[in-house]
Amino acid sequence: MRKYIISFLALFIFLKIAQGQYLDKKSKNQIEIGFGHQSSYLKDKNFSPLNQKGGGLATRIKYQRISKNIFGANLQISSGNIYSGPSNGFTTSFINVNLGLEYLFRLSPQEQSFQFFIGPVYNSRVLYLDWYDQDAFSYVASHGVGLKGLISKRINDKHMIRASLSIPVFQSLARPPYNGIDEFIIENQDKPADIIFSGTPTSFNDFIAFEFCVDYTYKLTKRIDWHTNYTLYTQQVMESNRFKSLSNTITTGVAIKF
Amino acid sequence: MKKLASLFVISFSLVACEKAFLGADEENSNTNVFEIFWNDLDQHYSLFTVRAIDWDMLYQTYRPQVNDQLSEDELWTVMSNLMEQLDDSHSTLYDGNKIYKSGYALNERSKAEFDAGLINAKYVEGVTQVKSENELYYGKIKNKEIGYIYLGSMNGNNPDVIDEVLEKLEHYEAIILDIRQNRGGEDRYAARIAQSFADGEHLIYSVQTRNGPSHDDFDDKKLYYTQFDYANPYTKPVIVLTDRRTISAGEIFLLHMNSFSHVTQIGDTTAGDFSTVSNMRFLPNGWTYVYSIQKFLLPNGSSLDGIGHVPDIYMKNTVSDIKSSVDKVLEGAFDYLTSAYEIE
Repeated sequence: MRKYIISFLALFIFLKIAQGQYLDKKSKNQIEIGFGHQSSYLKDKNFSPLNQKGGGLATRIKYQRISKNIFGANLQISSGNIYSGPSNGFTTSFINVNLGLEYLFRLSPQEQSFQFFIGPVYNSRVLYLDWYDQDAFSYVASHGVGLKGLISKRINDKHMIRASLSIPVFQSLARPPYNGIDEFIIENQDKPADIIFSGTPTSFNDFIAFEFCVDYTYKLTKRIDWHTNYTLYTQQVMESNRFKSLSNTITTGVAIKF
Repeated sequence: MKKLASLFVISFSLVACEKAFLGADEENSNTNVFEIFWNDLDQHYSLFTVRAIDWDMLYQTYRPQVNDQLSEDELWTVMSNLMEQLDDSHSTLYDGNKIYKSGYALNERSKAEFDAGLINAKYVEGVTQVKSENELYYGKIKNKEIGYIYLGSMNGNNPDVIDEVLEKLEHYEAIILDIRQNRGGEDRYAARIAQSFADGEHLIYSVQTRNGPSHDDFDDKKLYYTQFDYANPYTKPVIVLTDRRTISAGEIFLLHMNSFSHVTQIGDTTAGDFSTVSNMRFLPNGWTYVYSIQKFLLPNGSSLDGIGHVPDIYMKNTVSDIKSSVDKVLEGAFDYLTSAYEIE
């Protein structure tokens, strides 16, 4: 509950700041902040043979500069619990962090209501599972480049919708060792960054993922938009300890344009 | 707006794909629980070869005892009997209430062969607890020029504090370091405590973690040496007291200590369980379990798993010794210090 109150307070403060930043020139930059919920479904054989499902609070901050092309940076953090076993008796906490950068090239004339973009993205994603203070833990960390395509449609002056699909191509993928723990993990247990960035190069041969997003924008004022965003993200790691996850995240928030 | 609504409907309908995407969950039946358990150990347990365990033969013995009509208690009995064959108290089965530790009967029995209250009342004076650590206290043996340290765990916030303890005891002629009932903890903690007694840098053991489906698939050896602090080692005679419940990181500590020439181990043979324990494993019926995932080898290639540290001087208390307010092992240490070093 405390997380939700803090989230709404942050949103309120953000809106107040936005109101004070009215500028007369045409805005190219925007910062968006949103809060919502993530539902997670996963099977991580390194962690458990059981299917896990649950969810938690999602927070999203995104910066975009839209001129001829689009440059964007975003950070999304979700945390909560997933459950498995009889009567969902096993409760595991999770934290999911996604840091992304994108540069999308416009493929259609700027005056059209339908716009097409395509370009490279960089994502650094970490999913960490922890059962009872590391009595059991697992993680998937992927860092690398991919491709993203985006379609946007301005319905009228007030409404706009965007849909995008991105696919990681070359990644550095970090997963626990065959037995979950080894001397490297033990030695670096106080340095989690060393563990999550100790990945091996991979591509479609053993890591497949995609992210599908739909974003609806309603223009509240000249400088403030209301956003509702839905993201579907799936990833699969093909290894002896196979990993699959699917998450649905819905966030809503505002964007200030400047 | 219709287009907008349709896109959201399509997106949300993908939520329903979750079951197809993950596949069916594991069936909660006795036979499946047994199969998952047996296969998981078959694929990941590290000590089949070291402990000469024929896991396939055990499957032939125990699998026919399991059917889906067994009660929970009956299944518990079969699986704990199977686990007992590992004779490895790092392998443990939990049902949420009960715990079954493999090969733990002697360890359990040794609890009654040690009484910290007796030691503090009869043998040690000026007992001082180190509050930052889980079970570390020290004092002076009554009427003798011998310091006493009790270390019941290899977990704590500040292992460096051992140097402060040794400063307080350094003017005595010897130290008795009691690690009976030491339940283990972190190997790094054990290494740091031992560092304060080091007389040099010695190769003491190697560690390999199982990394494949074959029982003999292991990663590269990682070599471990004693950590030598040239500035301030304690090199007067040290007697380390052990018993059957000295286990895991407590035994790693002994790997360090036994390589030092001024250290003598007195007491019972230790548990013989060295490996790091696996992550907790989960079963569809709500039970959990852990097991050993590594093998520790001495520099000569032999293993103490299932054997333990055999003391230099073997002796152990009986329950009746303790009931008679006698710690025979501690008194044996006094006798040894007198006979070997003329320290009284």
